[in-house]
Amino acid sequence: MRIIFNEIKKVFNVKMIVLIMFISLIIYNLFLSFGLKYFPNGRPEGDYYKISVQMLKDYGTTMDKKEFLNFKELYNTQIEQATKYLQARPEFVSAGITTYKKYQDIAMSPNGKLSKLHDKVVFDDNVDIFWELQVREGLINEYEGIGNTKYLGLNKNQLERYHETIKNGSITSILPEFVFRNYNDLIKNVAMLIVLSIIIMISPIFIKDSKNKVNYLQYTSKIGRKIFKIKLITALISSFIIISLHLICFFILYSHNKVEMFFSSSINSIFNYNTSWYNITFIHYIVIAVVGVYVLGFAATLIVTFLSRIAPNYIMLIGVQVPITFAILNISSKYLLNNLTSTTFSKYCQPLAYSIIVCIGLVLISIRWKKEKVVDIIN
Amino acid sequence: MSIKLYEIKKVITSPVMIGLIAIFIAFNIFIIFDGTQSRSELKILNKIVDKFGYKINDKMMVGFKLYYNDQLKKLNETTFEKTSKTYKSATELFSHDYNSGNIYKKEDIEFFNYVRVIENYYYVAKDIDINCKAVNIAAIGEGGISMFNLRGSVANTVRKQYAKLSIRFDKMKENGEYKNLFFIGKAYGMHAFLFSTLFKYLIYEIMILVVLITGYLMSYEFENKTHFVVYTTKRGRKLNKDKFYVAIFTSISVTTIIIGISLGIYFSVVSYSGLWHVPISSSFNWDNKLSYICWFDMSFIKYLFCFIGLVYACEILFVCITFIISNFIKSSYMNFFIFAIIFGIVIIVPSFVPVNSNAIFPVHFTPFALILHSPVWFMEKGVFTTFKYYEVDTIAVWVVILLTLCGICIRKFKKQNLY
Repeated sequence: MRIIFNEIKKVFNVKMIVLIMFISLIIYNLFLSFGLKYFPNGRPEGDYYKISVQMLKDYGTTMDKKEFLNFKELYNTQIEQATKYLQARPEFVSAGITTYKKYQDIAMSPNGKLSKLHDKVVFDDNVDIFWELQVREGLINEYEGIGNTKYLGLNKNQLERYHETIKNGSITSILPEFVFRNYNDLIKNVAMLIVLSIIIMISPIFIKDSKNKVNYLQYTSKIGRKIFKIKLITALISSFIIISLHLICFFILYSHNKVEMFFSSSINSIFNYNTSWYNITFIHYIVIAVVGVYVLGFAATLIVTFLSRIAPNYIMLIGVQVPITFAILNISSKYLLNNLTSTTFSKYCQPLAYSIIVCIGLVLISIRWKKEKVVDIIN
Repeated sequence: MSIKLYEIKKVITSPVMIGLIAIFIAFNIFIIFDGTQSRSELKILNKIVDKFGYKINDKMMVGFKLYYNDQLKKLNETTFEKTSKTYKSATELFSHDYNSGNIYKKEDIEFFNYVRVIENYYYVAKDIDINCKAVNIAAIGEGGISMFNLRGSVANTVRKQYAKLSIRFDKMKENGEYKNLFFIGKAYGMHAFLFSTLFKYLIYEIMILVVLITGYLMSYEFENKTHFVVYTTKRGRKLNKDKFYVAIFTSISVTTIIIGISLGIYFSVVSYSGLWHVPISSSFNWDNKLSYICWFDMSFIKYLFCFIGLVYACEILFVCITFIISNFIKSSYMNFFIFAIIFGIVIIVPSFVPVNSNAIFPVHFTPFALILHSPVWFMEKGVFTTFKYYEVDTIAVWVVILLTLCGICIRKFKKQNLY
């Protein structure tokens, strides 16, 4: 226990912590700050956010047929308001645009004057109802499109699952696509930061000792070859600390995004364009992704520890780690932490990917441990 | 001399360098084959250029039109035989009846596809003036200005630069530089693939290698505990200079190996025969995102060589930066990550500089910002970096700064503490 504690102290030395802090700040600035600062991002996303929060208040987490009719009514009253707005403006009346329908048509008109008039309302005067109508229209279209699978290009299993979500009603839950995407993108980048941090912090764990010839002392002491296991435990504890600290910082920042009202909405929502293999809500998804980050982090720790033990010098270590790091980051952003449990992947694809990466780590470590017991110390 | 040879030996006998070079080249080959799926279609352009030349003018268009009509007629003869239908264009055939059973032989379908590609080139060539008129350089600049909300002298500087580019564009319109056949950018995106995808990988791969090589050489004595032996001799204190030269020499060699092999494979996969002297600003090259309007009247081959030259210059600058870092940090491990941190800091500094102060321009003149803009070197590349001599200026300034610093480091090392 005392050795583990001292080893952890070695991993978390001041130089390394400063290095990691700089790297975290850079990655935060390049990849994370945007998703955290600009949420919801401008218009009409902001209007979409407001409307969906209101929907959650009025209808609960799902919107059934009756509630949808109510939603449509709201849409129609807003169209009336828009019409009134247009009729009160002389420039629109003189151009013959007296209804919302006509207003919509001029957006695409080749007549430059008319399309300028259209843009004036939304971009210059920033009239709320026109932005909101746009969002509501989209929502109504999505909702009415439930069950229309013609253009989705789904295969048999996906189709089956899609109809299941219609049956259990989770498809009508209220979860805007941008809320889900925002979290998905952020956690992907956080995972990247965590994997990088683990690689940088854990890498010197063996090589530092062997470079300073401390391993001769370690091997001839009573602990002897058990030091390998102790260091492995140290590495896992350290990476647990690294992952937890990063995640705590991330979730403190993420809490400013104000998405807690969506927590109990199912991620199978039609508004999310995503069907999951399981009936899980947004908060479940958040937790699953966090578990995924821990598993990925531990798998990376195992691989890094193994490499640190066999690399003869630092340059070799970095050289070997460069391609491995890129491979891990690529796989994690494409499969391991991207749209977890989504039907775009086959049902067992992601769990399999996780088990493969963990297995690689475990196999490497167990091979080394067997060799460690009989290895020649002077080599 | 022999000391330098021994230093070189350290690098080339290091298995990690050889391994990394091999992995990177294998990766590039994968990227090349993955990114050029429409190789057989690309070859058709070589045939067209062989027949009519790449310059688009009235005479050429007459010949091209005759040839195209001839091919279309042949296509209709074949289809009429089989289905008693004729088509106005090959595209029509593909959009309507392509999947209707196995009526056509494999060779027929290949021929239809050939006609379709010729048709695409013909129509793009025909509408070339209209498409070119639609490009408004000043408007692109104004778009950028309003996006960043620029005011005052900064906005004026930007406007001036775009006005200059606009003059260049007008000149291009006069001398017909844009009227040349090339791979259709909107369909194949070959410029984006070569200069943005492939070269982006090349630049970063070589950067990783040169940083590793320089760091390895510089910290070699310290990490192998030979520094007390080597640096206590009179000759030893001059070793830093040798290491510096060797680092630059090996970096140039590595750059040559990686670029040479990767581009060699690329150009043997995608045939550019007959196209080497097509101006890079040809409007065929433009894709959906960008109009590649070059500041200089360059042919493709000249552009390629200038581009490669710039890559060499950038990599040498990275060697210098690593060399300076390694004079302060004796561990190659830390050295690598500190280089990464400096890279990161330099590219995020511009986001902290207020956009309406004139300091926004100098912070973009860095080697790191330069490689971020690599796909559009010598072209329009956003409001803060669209200067005619941006690349040359950046390299010149940084070469002077970094070489001076390297010289100071070499001199200081002679009197430096060893522990």
